[in-house]
Amino acid sequence: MTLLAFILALFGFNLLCITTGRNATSILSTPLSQSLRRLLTTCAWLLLALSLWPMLLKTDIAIGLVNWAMLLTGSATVVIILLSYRPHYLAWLVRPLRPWLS
Amino acid sequence: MKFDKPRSLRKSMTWVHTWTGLPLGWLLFAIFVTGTLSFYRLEITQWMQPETQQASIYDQGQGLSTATKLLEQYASDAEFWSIGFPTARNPLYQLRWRAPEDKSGPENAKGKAKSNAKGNANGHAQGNGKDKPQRGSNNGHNATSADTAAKKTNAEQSQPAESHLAKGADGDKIKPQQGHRGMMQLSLDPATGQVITPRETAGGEFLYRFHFQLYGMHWSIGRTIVAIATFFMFTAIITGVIIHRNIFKDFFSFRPRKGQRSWLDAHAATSVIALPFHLILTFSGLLFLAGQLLPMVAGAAYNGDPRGFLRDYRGFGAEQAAPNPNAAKLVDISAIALDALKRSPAGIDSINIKRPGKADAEISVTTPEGSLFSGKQSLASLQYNGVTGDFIPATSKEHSAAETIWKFMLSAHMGLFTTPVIRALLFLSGVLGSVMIASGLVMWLVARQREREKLGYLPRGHRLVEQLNVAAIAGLLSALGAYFWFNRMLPADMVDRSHWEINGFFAVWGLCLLHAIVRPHLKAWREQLSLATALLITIPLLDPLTGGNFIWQNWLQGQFAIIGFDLTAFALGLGLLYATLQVKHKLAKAEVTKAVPPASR
Repeated sequence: MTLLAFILALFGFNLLCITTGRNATSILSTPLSQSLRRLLTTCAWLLLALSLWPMLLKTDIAIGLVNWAMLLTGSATVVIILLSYRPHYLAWLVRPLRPWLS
Repeated sequence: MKFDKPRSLRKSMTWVHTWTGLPLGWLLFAIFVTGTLSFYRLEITQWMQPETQQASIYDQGQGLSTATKLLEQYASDAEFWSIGFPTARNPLYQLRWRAPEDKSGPENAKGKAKSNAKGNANGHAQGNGKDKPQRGSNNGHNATSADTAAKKTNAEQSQPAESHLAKGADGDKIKPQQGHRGMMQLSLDPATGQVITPRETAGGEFLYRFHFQLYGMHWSIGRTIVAIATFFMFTAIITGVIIHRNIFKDFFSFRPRKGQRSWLDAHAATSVIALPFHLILTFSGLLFLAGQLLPMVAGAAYNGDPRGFLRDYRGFGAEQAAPNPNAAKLVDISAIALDALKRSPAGIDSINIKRPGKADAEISVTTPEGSLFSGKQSLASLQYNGVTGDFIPATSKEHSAAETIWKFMLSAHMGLFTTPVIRALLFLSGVLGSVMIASGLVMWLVARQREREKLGYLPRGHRLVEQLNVAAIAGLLSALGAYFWFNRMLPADMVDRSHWEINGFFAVWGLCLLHAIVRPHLKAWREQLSLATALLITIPLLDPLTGGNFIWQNWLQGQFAIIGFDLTAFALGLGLLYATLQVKHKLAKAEVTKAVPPASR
């Protein structure tokens, strides 16, 4: 369950990272269209919100939230390290979308 | 900053952020680092007692009968027994008991507890059961317990089948370790039931205590200092959030090797991604130490009844029935363990027996499952009657809001509820927090580089910050590495061993401070970082060469805590090696371009 939540959060941060700010250009060679960016951002936030759900299955809400916060920290760390040193790895998640990118 | 003209909020907050962060930043770094290590303080203590690496496997249930017999032998008159089961965090059975307290005064009782236990151990080592005269003035109920003790031990010694007990009688040293407040402790190998006597060590406990009450001063003063530092930390966090302009836009930006930009990025990134951790841990830390800063408030509100305050606030100290002095035989503990295993499939964490051998004995079995409101460890527990062995279903109690918040903060701060993954993430967040503080401290200097170049010389204040930065960051890490080395290098049976470990820690730290004062800035960084690297990166080798095992042996024995320690130290060493090389690179560059004024070196 923790793993599922971790993956959800990781994907969420990954998408958020692709769509926000100045990072998009370093990850993707082509810029995103406005509507696609908005869609991906929404998906990113949905994934992040969804990652809370597996954490609440086993523990009550108080402890679940703390665990979730720790999980977000962990997944964000992974994304930031990848972005700094291997940005192209982050493009993997949107690769299926390539036909629509331009 | 001058206060003569109006500023924007962000600018004023930047000023507050800088000047709350810097003055206590060095102390906060030490608090953060030792606090982060405290998440693994059991593992650290275990590493520092390589004797525990003789034990091979975890298992539940075996060794319990041995444990019970040893407790009956050594602690028959104790008011409290605890049998800690082997878990992933500690592979040994841990037997603890508290020797009875005397009414004449706490000091007296402590001394007596010691002599009592010694008397007991000696008595058994010589193989005679006559330890009764060695007890001091017994009042009525102690005398009965002594009687039962004598009877029990006599009965036991007439059973020659117990190999380990026979060993004890042969004069093989079974020496219980003395803990805090008269607690005695024995460790058992879960596979063989053999008593393992680990070396004396300050262990993770020293680091844990240091992070909230420092060392070498009265605990109250230490805690007050830490509380004030925590206040500064909390202020710095809040102002930091306010001044961080594009929290989402910059969320993921870390641009390495770009001078001040990179430092700012590193500082912001480590702050933001672990922000929940920083906020909760700092706030709860402040909450724990609140009584230290405002001691009169509780007294005034509760009319001088501190127990009432504690009862409402922490859920301690509920009134208890008067103890029943009549003796009664304790129920068979293995039967209780079996029943508890049926009720809790997750296993048993520990079995705690209050007033063993008395008519009102109580047994509580804690399980590894987290639960906010039960007991000290925030673990769920099952209650049993200690004489009949009946299961007592839990009664739901009312909890005040203050108690709920207190318990939640305590569990969150200490990671009491965690799974191994979450514990690792808490540790990671702690590391990020330490990097945050360190990068903030370095940034103070980096941000003022221009100013220095304009001045053409190094102001005294800047030099002071340079010196303290090196000593507080690289020096502390070296001292930590040295602490683990001292642990393994000092003779295992040395008198006052734990004190010498701590002395070694502070000696190395002090030397690092002197070194940082004497040497030029970057050279001091390079040398101290190299020292810390060398001390930490070699730990996986130090362990097997000084009484422990190689990593693969530990893997086979299931000693994963030790493997984790070795690998974490190695990884930290690698990180420090990288930092050392960066500094070296910078030094080389600075030497090539002599145009840079010597001040900035």
